[in-house]
Amino acid sequence: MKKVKSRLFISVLIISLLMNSILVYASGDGIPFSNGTKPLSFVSCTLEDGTKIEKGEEVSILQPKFTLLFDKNVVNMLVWENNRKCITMHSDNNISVLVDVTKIDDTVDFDHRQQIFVQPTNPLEWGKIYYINISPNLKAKNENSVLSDTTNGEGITIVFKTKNQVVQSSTSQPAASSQNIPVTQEQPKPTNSPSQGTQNNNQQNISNNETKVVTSEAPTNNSNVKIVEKKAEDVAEKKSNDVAEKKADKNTISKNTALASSGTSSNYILEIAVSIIVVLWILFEFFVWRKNRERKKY
Amino acid sequence: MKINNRIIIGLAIILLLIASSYLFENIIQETGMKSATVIKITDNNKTIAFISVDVLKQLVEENNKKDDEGMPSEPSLLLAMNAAGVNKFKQIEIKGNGVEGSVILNEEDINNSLKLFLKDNGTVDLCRENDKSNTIVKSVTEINIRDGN
Repeated sequence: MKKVKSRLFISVLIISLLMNSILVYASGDGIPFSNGTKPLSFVSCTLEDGTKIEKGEEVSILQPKFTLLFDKNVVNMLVWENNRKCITMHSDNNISVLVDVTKIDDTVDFDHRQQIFVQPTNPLEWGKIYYINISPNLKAKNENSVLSDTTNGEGITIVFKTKNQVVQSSTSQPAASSQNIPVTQEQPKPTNSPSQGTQNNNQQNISNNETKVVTSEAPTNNSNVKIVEKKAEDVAEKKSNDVAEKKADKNTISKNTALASSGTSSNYILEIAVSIIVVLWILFEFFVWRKNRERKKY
Repeated sequence: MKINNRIIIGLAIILLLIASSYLFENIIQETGMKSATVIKITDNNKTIAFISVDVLKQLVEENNKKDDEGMPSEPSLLLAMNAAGVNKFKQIEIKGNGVEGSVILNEEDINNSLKLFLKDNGTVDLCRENDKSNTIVKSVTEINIRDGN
């Protein structure tokens, strides 16, 4: 009878421990057994390919999609309206960049509740430094945990740099400049002014034909490329600013990521498999211990 | 009973518990959608969120806290959509359980005057502000965003 009782007690204990961790996990209060207890903490910023952005890493694409990871649910409907406004981006010369701040709702996919996705609405410029700012007012689902608790009242700034554009000589590819893709043309080595090279860092990807920035001088005749003229640069900048302002007026900061509702099955299977392995292991250990004890008795 | 049998039964019970909890959740959601107590929000027919009447009530409370208004107001359609993460759209289709069926609204038609009236039976009606009697969609079940990108 005693044996049955002790077995029952151990089984109940194991199941309740497992259930407890599952319940904590499900409530969105945080990763089980993580050291971040109450306050909301920023964990990491990564690109779609998994590259971590920590100390001003170079980004090779002009419309990178960043994933900001926190240790608590930050996408719940009750806090989302506040949280999406907490994330902004600006360039090194303090010009704000329009960004799409998106989430995968926790009612559809619970596994992404700690992630906020940030992507510039328009392509960025080559060779520039950008800053993603996360306001200290970012809230967790419980509405009590605020980011400022873990950042001494300050927000978080993530710095990254877009790669320098390599401008190639266009003799062999005269047709490329007429396309809308970010064409790279080899730039002649700076001879007179060293600043010329940096002037070429302009918005090429957004350039439709009207906002074309790099113009090649008689592509069939000469390999030299005419670098962006100041006026053209100003016009392009004005146009892009106008577009940005118009979009801001329409409150188009946020864009929702569409997702298939069945996308989470693999994670659930993984969770179940891990739980089973843990239970099996505990049972195995228990029976080995019991056998040893019985052997000792005899 | 042999030890092996006990292990198998134990594991089967755990598996059954896990499976039944997921099943239970799904059943609750399905019933909620059928009875219009849960609204499904889709973006070009892909589900992006589920919003229940309780969440709508909480959203209103939150909004009232911010605005420092004494009287609680009804949640607007825009508020519900923003909470679900929808900010860009050209057109939305609102489906309901009532005889009115569904209605399609363009971007310019949607403003804060479109309210979701919470009813005692846990369902939601779409009406214009100050015109509760003139229901646009009764018992809203789905909001489908078109061209949200």
